[in-house]
Amino acid sequence: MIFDLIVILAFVAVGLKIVFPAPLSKILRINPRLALGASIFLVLLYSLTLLYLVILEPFSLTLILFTAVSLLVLSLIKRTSADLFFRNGLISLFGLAILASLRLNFLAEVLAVLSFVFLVGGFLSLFYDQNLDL
Amino acid sequence: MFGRLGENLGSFYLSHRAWLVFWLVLIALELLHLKILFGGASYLAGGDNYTYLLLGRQKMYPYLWDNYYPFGVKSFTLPNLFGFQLYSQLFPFLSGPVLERIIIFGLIFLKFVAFVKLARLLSGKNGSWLLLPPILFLTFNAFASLNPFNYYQLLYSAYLPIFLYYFIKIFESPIFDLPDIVKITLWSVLASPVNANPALSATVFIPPALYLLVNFKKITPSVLKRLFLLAGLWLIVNLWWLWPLLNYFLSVSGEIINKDNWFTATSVGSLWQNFRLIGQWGWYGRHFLHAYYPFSTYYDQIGVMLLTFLIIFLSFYEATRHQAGDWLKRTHLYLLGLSLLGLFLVSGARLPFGFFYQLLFNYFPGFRIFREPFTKFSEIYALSVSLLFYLFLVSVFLKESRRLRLIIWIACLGTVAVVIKPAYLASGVVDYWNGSVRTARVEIPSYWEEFSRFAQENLSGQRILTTPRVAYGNAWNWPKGFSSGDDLAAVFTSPSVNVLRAPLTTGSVEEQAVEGFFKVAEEPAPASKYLALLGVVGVLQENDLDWRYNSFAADPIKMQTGLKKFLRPEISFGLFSQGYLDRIPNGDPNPYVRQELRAKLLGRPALTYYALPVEKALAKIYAPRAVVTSEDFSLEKAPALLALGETQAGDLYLSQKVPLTVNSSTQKSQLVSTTSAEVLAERVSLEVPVSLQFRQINPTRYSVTIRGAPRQYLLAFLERFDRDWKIYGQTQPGLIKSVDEKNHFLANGFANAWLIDVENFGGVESQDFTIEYRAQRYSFLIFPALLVGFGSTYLIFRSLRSRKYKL
Repeated sequence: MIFDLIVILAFVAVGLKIVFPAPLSKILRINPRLALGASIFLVLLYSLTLLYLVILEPFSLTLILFTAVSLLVLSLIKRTSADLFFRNGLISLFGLAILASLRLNFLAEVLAVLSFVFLVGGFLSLFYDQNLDL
Repeated sequence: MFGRLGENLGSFYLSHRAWLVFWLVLIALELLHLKILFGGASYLAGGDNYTYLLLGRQKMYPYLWDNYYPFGVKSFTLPNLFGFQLYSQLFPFLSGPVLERIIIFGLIFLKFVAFVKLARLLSGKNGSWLLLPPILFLTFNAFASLNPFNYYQLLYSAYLPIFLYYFIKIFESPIFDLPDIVKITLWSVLASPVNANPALSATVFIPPALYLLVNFKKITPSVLKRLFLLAGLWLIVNLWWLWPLLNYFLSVSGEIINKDNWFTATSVGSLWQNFRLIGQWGWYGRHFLHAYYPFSTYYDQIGVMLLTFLIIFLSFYEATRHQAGDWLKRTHLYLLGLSLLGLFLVSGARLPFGFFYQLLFNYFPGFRIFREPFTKFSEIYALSVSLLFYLFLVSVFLKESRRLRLIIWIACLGTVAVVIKPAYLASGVVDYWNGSVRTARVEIPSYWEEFSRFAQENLSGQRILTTPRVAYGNAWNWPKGFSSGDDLAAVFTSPSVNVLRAPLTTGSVEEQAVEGFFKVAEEPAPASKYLALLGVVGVLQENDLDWRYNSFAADPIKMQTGLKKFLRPEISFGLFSQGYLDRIPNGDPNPYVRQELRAKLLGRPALTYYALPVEKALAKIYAPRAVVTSEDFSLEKAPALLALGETQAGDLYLSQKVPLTVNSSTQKSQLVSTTSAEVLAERVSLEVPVSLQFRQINPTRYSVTIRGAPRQYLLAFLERFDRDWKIYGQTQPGLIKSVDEKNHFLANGFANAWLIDVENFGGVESQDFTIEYRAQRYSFLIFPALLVGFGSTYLIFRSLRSRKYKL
């Protein structure tokens, strides 16, 4: 139990240090409150829509189109937004580790999906930035 | 001379001290792991890994007709030629257990080397000790614990980084890099056994394909030329196994692959577990008394869970940080993409992008082979995450103070040590009794070796049937071991004896044949006729097969009573004495089931071989005295026909009428069912040659000598029917032709028969024929592979000589 507690605390400390090495405004070059609010809003909107579609219309054309458009939008966002996606992806990954260790598996899965989507979004925007932004 | 040598060695040691110590540590760690893995047993084998028992006893079998399968089959396992077969041939002086240890150690060590080369190439850094945590993580992570000694998995996990390393080198090289192109081609030949599992081997091309995509702006005409040369050379030297494999999938198993009733695990698991390399369908499952993976609970301890995520987190953190320099930027972007692609593929049809996978699975031809995505794609994810983990350690090393970087390195090593504990300590090796699952630490009983020698000496080129009916995953009652995916008789007689058995229920012709035998086994006369029809010369009764956990199998006493009605026991091997039975684990909680073992086995031999009387057995090639024609004849229908007194042992059974023109009308009779008065078939007597002799030149070629042939006769050949089996004869002096395909029939429900018209062969009564498996003519394709093998070996030696004392 004590070992577990030490590991959790160490994990939280290391995670926070890594995710927030400097003020958000410096990293994102935008207003930190705006960045946080916008990302939370987008995450909620995106995840709710995705869950709604998955539950009500799994494997439907709408779901495929939604995802395709999402990916396209993600890929068209510029470099600075890649950082935003990466940060959100890492925060979600960090959160999923905590939730999973607390046996909240469903919430961990939701965060895993979000983390994956954000990381893919970040990758695509960075890929666009490095290769397609001619 | 010795002084100079000592001087050279001294300077070499000083300049490479860190690397030498690093490799020695890795070797020591792997040797210790190997010792734990084997646990003092001779062999490590079981389940699908039963093939390790073939080591040391297998010979090179370069034939496109695979005699390992019942009735033979068009080969799709030719890639195995450079696997166990080659090792056994090259090292006949080594025993199977020694060879197995060398192979497992060699493949894991090769994986270490490949990872080090790839990590150094991608990072541009030379840090030896920084590689230790990621190497250990890659080799002993949760995914690696699932199948700790599977040959194909080990070979694949070494080949994947090797292939990627040379591909990137060739791509990034400023010059035309011929040596590396040859080396990668050589590796493709050495690793060709992995292609016996196409779903695994195909994934080797995924990382290079993504590399091209991420770097497509760098593709110049010069790079394109190199890649085309690589692709062309790869194709030429691998055509020898690629061609039969494609041929097989296109002709035989295409429909099997696309069947809906195969086990699929595309939606099993959860993404959060996949992130930390967990997600196999049986991870939390149980069988009988034990969990499949008892150590799965270890990974669910809160501390271990956080530490497993810590490595993943650090890797993704490294991947998503700003990087200085174009090369590092591209490397990080590539590895991030590879991790995400790996994760997408591992997730299969699940959220969030699973519908793409499902679309591919449903509609893309051949994609159905990826019905268990976790096991096929996890290595890609593990490799990319491990490389990112290494890059994280490199950046720590470059940026932080000496003290801090040492602390971080030790912390990372400690974290890895916690994460890899189950795999390193071989928790994935089954070492307990669990019903039909037995320990994977195996000692082969001596009676199987005795039977193996008997079979090689007396049954070579023949076909035997085994009883009781073997099912996939059966257990044998050995003191140490054994569970197997296939019948052990095939392992101990391969490839000289053809063993008729059907461990899988797939509706195959061998399954019909085996089922048919158990239907007729109660009645002596049809049973021996039935065995003759199948080309079987004897039956091996395996009393050590544990019938208690196989619903298809009868117990030894019942089987023996049935077999003795029409077969005579020729020879027995082993004995279940009181002392021997005491040594066999028998842990069933039900006392009745437990006691049954002793009651049914005490005093009985372990193996008994029953021979079909010579006068009742049929040769592999013979001229039938009568043909029985029944519409839609199959082996399922055979028992009913054989029960009729009019049918004889040498009759040939066809489902279509043969265009006989000579001397047949007067010798026809109708076979009528004794119960329903229904006409079941028509029997027509045939004239036969005065003498027929044949000789097996190799499994794909037989010479047949006919003397005193009638004008028209049938020739039966009791190998599985295949259109590539041809019979050639001399039509006129100097002109050899094959019998027309319209006169090539499916006989006895599985075999070949040809209608020979003497007039088509010069009208002479004495003829020499050759029966040949035509596809074997393409075996010359192996020569480019051998040529590249020799050529590149020379190149490697030359380059080693010019780089004396350099690692």
